[in-house]
Amino acid sequence: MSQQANKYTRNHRVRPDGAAKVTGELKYLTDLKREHMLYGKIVRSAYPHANILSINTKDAEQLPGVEAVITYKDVPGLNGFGIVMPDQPVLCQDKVRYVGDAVAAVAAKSPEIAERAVKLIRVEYDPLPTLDSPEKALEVDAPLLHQKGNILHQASYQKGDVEKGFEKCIDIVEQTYHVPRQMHTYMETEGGVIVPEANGAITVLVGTQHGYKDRFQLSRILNIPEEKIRIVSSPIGGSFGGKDELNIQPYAAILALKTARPVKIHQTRKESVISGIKRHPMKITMKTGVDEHGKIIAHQVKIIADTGAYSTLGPAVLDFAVEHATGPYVIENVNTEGVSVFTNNGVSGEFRGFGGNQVAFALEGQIDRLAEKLQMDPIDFRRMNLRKRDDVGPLGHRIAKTNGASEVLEGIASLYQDKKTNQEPERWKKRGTGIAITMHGGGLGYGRLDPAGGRLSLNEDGKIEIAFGFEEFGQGILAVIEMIVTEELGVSADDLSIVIGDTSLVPPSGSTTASRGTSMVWHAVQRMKTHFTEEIIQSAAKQLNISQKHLRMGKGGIYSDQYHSKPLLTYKQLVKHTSSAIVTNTSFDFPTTPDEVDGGHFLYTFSGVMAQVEIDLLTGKVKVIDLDQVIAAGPVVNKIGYRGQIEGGGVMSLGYTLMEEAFMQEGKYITENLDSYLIPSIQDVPFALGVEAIESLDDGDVYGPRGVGEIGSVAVAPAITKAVHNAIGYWANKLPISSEEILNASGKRSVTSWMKVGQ
Amino acid sequence: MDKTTGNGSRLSHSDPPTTGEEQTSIMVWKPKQVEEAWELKKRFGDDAKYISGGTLLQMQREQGTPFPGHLISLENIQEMNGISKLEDNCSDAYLRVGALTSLAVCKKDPLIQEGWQLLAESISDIASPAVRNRGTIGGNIVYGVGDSIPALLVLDAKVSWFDGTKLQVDSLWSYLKNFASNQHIITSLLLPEKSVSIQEKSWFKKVGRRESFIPSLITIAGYCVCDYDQMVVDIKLAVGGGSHHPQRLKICEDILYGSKITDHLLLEAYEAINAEFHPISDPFVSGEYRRTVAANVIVSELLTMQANR
Repeated sequence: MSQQANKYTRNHRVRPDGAAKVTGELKYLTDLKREHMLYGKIVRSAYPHANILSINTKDAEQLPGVEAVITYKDVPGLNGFGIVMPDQPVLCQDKVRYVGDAVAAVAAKSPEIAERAVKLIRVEYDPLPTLDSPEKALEVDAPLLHQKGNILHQASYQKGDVEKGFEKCIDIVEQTYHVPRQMHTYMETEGGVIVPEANGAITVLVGTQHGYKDRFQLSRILNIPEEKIRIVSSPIGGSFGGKDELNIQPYAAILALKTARPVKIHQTRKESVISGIKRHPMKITMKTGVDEHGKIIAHQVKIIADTGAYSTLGPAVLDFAVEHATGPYVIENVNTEGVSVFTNNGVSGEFRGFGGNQVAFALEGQIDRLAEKLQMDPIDFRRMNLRKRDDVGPLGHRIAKTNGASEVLEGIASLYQDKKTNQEPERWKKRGTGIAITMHGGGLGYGRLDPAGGRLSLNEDGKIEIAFGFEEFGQGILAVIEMIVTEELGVSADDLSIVIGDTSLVPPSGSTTASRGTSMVWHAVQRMKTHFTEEIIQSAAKQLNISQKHLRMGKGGIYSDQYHSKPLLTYKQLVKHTSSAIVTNTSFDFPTTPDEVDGGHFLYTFSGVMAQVEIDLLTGKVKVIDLDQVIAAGPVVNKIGYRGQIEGGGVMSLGYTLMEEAFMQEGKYITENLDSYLIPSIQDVPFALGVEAIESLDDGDVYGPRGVGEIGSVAVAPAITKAVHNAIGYWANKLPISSEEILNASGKRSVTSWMKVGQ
Repeated sequence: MDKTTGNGSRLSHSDPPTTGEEQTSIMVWKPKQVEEAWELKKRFGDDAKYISGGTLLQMQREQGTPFPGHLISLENIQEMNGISKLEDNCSDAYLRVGALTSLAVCKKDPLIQEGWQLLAESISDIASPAVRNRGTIGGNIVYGVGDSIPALLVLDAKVSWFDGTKLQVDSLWSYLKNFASNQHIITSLLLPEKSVSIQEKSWFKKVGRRESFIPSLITIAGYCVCDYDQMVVDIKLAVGGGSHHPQRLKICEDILYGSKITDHLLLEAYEAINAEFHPISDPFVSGEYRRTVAANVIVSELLTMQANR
């Protein structure tokens, strides 16, 4: 990684939670047990779409060892959840809309009894026609899945006159792209323990990306005040967006309150596949035209997203896709229209990349197809159409000035020169190289509640306590917090106590999502450090009877400017004799564009990707042999964490490109478990994954390091797709790219032509 | 005879016993003789299954097929263990591999690595190290779909099984053709020693939807010996994969046998494979794909045996 303008260069910081994780010592919330704990299990729908005629729980209730059975009748408050619109029933009353819909739940003395009880619950259904595609759901006579109809959300963006633009074009490419339903495939499936407390309160020990939001949603469902709900939510065995929405919490909570005993639910992988949210499948049609100078002047986009049965974050994902449909290119005439459609397929929602990955595949596909048509070098073609430092954002809104697009393109161009091999592969194999670039907005965007905050204090043990409402779900936020606080305050890791993931102990910081964690930690510490340091120094000055100007904070305590080898006062000594608490709080919002553009982002990160593939002409298998990324996201806070995010995002998208699809037929999952839903194994991943960080920010940029949780996943698919084209001349327009399609495309099925290959 | 009680859905579950447990409990039997195992199966019929490594039954349980009331563990049957050389009819030499030998042990065995490398190679592609440590070679064969079968077919392996009264021995190919899977107790595998040839080639290729820890879409194994004039003097071709029962490609073998490898002959072989191999389609690939890959791999391997190629 290059190192420019970065103060966090001293350490490759090993994450504080790393050792416990790799040794297996760490207790996740799904590992917890409590005395007298019951085991909960959820009954999911037998049909993707049906009316419920009756629910009979009698036999289950009578099974020895069963302590409670609940149905819709047992939901104390609002029978619905959803981060934005609570339209997903906690427990369905009269209708089911997907195979993950919950109809009943049981709590029993053992998981085995719970499982048997579930089988004793009789639900009578009257099956309804299954709307298993947006096209079917949009037919005029399609049954309505929700009162307002089958359209969840529409979003669009217009600029100039796209029809007139096309008239001036000398070349136009029109193509429809299909992207699949991807599963987050976190290692830890949804689960945890919910403990009833005195006075009707509960403690929820269940992983989530946003403890305060869960508290709000549960309060509505349980009809108890938020103050009576404590959410303990870290550590989490992976999330990638999949645990931002509620999952098993409502069931375990209702069961715990009903039985007055702790209830544990931990979904099996199969239950997780069936009930969990996925990345939105989309059908994206793009028509893109260039003028005689090679300038893209017209771009028309139609996005149809399959949002599944309920809203969750479907509207926001579509808005994001619409915003990013022009990517880092400046185009005179644009017309983007998106529609997100309810179906009886599994619920689609938040997923790393948030709609950006889908449109990046289509957009970069258009760019490469146009470059081929124009017989231009794909890098030159991009360079010609790229946004510049002062250009507005993709919705015409003002954004933080950045030259990131150009920096990653030039970075990847030079890598392309260095690494592109013309090395002859073995017989029956072909190699190809492709590049792609993207830009990606951080934070939730204009007009959305996006608060952040934090708290710095000197606690009773003499530790500098830093508290955030963020969650640790594998991304490495603890290492980021440790790095930023120790560097900014000049203290050591031993002086710190990091507190996260417990609503009884931390201030609200918003959701751990949208690549906002690193950025918000940095902002919070910038806001708090001066005041906090002053408080500490003031208090120390009083105790030591030395003027404040001679004192400074350091490792282990307070030092004088004369004497450096040992602190005059340790933090422990300081707190012992301090009369008033030393606490600094901050709360603020994630920066957004000043322009009134709904969902418009302000801070963008950039990525350039180069992929090389080797294609086996005998089998059609595509093997990625090289995957390199150049990232522009401001200063790197923790190098290992940064690299981990980019590599991890890359591998996740390698899977998206070549094998991952939660495949459904008639509203039912065909890939019900990890033996058929495939994620890459280490053998599918190139030996070395290159990560290059461009750390410089624009002069005067005061926004610090950006989060990189998503950017490494966004532009990988189009780079691999182009590499495939480069190898065998085939344009894939559907993900995942299958071996069969490659074998067909390489035209080697007829023996005679086949025999000539490789000679 | 040892017998233990296991919890129906979690054999090694450490939770404290609960009241409902006895209702889901199953019996695990541990006979020491193959005859005893046979008797137990006869006694409990469909409510019993043989188990050795248990990796397949475990996966089926995960997919929704519960364990039967009785599991007859074969682990304690001594005669089903071990790897040793033995002479048959004073002329042919065999390597005897006990059916209970774990896949990992087979893979690492020096005798197998030296003399039957194709078997070791095919085992390397089966599942993951953890599964290979538990899963047995007998288990890989007995269900009729294991990835090692195509390799064993071209190695001309024999199997020995217990039919209820005595041990029988026949070629694996005719065993697979004649018996529905899992009806007998396979006790051992017999791998014939090959004579050394000047121009010979063997290959094994498994194609899955990813590089490792993956069920096979198509598995292809072959063995070919040519004489000085590129005349095929020995040829064995086998394909399997997915839920397709492995088969020898006899028509293709007949076309190749006794002929000189030429482009024309290979075209004929290619067409023969298309004619005699009819693999199934599934939601991920078509039968056509499987057949094409099989033909591509076989012909490309044979092509390298042609002069000047």
